[in-house]
Amino acid sequence: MATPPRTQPLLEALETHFPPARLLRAPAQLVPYESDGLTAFRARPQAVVLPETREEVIEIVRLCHRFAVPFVARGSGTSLSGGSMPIEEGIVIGLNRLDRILSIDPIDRVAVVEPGVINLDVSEAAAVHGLTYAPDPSSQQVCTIGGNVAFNSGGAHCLKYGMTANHVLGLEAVLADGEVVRLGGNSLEAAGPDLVGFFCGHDGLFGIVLEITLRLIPTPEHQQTVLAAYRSLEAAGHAVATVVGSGLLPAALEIMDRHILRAAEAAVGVRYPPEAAAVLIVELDGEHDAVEADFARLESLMQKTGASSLRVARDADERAQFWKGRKSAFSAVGRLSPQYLVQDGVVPRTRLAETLVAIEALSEHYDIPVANVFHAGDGNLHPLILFGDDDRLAEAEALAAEILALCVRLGGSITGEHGVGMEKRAHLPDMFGPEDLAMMAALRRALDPLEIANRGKMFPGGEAPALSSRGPHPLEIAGIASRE
Amino acid sequence: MTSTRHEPATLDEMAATIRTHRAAGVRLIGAGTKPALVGHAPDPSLQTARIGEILLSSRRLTGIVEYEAAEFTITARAGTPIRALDDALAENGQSLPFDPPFAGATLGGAIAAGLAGPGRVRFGGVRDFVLATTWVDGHGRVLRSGAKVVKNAAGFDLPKLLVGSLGRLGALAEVTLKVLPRPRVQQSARFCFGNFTSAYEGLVRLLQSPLELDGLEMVEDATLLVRLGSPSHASSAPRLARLGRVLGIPPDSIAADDEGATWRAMAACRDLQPEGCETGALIKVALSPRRIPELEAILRSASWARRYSAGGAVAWIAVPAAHYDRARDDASLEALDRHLASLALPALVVRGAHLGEARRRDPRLGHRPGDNLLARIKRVLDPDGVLPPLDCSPTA
Repeated sequence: MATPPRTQPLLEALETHFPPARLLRAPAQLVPYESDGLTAFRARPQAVVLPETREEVIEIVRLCHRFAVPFVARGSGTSLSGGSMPIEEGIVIGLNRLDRILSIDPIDRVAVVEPGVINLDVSEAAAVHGLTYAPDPSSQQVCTIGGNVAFNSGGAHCLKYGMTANHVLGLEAVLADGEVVRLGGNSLEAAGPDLVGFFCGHDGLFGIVLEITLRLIPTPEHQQTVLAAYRSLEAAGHAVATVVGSGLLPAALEIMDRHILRAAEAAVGVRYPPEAAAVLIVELDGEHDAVEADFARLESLMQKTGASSLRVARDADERAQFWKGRKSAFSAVGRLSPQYLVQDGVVPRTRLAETLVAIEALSEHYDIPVANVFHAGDGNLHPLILFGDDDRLAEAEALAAEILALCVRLGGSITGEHGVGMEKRAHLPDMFGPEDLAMMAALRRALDPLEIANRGKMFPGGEAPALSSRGPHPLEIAGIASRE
Repeated sequence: MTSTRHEPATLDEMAATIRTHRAAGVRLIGAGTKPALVGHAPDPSLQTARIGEILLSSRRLTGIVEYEAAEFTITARAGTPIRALDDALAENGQSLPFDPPFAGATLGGAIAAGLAGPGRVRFGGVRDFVLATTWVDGHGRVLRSGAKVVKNAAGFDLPKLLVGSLGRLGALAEVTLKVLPRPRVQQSARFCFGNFTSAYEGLVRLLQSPLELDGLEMVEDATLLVRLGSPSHASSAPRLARLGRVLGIPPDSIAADDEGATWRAMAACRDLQPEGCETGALIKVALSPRRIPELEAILRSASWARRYSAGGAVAWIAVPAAHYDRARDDASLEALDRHLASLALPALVVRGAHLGEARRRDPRLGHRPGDNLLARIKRVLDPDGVLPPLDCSPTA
């Protein structure tokens, strides 16, 4: 494919700054960057540039702005919404080399990190101070903080601790037109609009985060984890309502259905009760005496929920076993179906049971299996649409669209923690009216007048006006075939 | 100060008010979304309208719109008094986790001022609990941002942006909040240290411990006021004893009858400005524990009353009024402004009826991180300056 005219001068400028080892151009070098966690789609960028300092990132962004070339910032490429999918006319800015934990302050309980730092590494570095970083996406062993901030990632323990935005206190970022902004600081509070909160979950459209001040919490000293098996998914759903309604505040409240259980058993060797149609994991954490008092209540509540079996983790190892199946669910499902779409809709917690019934009916209607694993405590579903092979992608997408429409109809959201990205951009108007969309688009243009930062994500319609004459969106083409 | 007061009773009326007066080129003050901390008789400090300006009040925009206790979310109109919300939540054993400090304030005022009380030490501040907002921007557009569920990552997080926005970016009409169960048993104690340094060290020790506290205030100079929320009395006693072991001094327990009143007084800053004596300025500083000693040194030399609240996330400062001497009052605030700027600490004047007009129109003090970004946002949401200016850049 010929290099688009605007990209050539950018690449020439980048060549003067970056050695070939950090400016990837050869097709074989670009292949690993063609796709992210949304594996159904791929696109090959013009180049991948690998900065090592914040000054280099700023310089790259300023050059992209000068030459009007779109860029996609990328960490480990784990986005499940296609948020880090490249764009064919543009470049990828790989941030993995900005992976320094700059400081940890045990008195303010904050860590200052670069965007390429891996989520779990923050907690590991903070452990010596008895502190931990709470947001725990399933991909926490590889996903980066920069990506977590861009998509306001969640995780199983969001129920008690909140999402990424609740744990970001300060940011330094380069806006898409090259201006650098510093927001927030070490305080949990602010005096003025919450710009940090506004910047989290921008889907990469505002620019690139260069430095993040993360809030750390004291590592909970005690946990109690219960694994309850149920003979139906609905019964598990009712158990969730019982726990939530009791006034207890679990750290996590997760459901896996039978598809997930079988896949997890096969993939990671965890054993679940054979009769289980659904398993509920409830975890309490915090101060020892408070957890024990809550746990006594939880046990008596759970006994009334009709569980076919109830297991309490005896030690940290068994607790890790309970979680192993849950955290590996997405990858384990690959065994059931090589191709699948992960959904991320949210419904009001009281509507969970009816939503599950409706999803099952949709699955039957389309004759495509749907596995369910979800953050039940906050109504955040992760239906995995197991569509088998590529020729059923269109049907799978139609099924996904119906699930999202259902979530919106029930008063929920199209995404709880994965972000809109590329995957759900057509559904943003399901949630927001034309004036809301126009306002958000205007805000984006105020920070990125050329719409070069993660172009084609979040907003419906894909292409920016400047490139709309170039034909169909390259990602849609790329979804059909990978081009060499 | 002649100004016209508008009190829309519906969202559409609110939008129409802004549109109408926008067309006429009249500047507009969102009185209902400014920190109406003293309830429906607005603090004179908020009466910043100039001749010809419109005061927009949310006084008639009241009531709970949606509340299903099992969902742990509540939606109410902006003019609803915090006290009314709290009563409705209490009936179901729930409460606002960010512990809004001034019970007389309205919901819109509490959100737009971004003020949290002592309880924020446990679960978080206003930003952590605002899920959705219906609001009107400077164009007069009715906007619906966020989602009325506890988790949402769709679209830009405008509800968070509006927290602390002081009516500069839009007028709030309706807010959805996440709520939490009210602790069943709360018990509190004072720990009196001999000096500031020991008390500060105690505060830091508690913050680093795994103890989950419902309140942690550093009052006067050497006393920590600590609150524990427990599921039962049985679990409460050993936790209090443990607190004493962590701090190395015995707790001075507060009687159950006084417990609630003690914390309500803290929330309302009665220790700094006794009821009926709200003549001086009350200032909130966004702080972190490490900065407490530096700030303390400045405040002590100025002899201003202060408290380090919510585990050191906030400092509350009372600057007394010099009677009939507005110039001196302004000078005190300007001195504080310079000190805070040199420490890179952001702050907000929450009460300051006696101050000069310039300060009343711009209640922010000290450090203003991200003002270049904020100015860009302002130009999108209120390009014609229908709402009060940010006063952060010459072009805003």
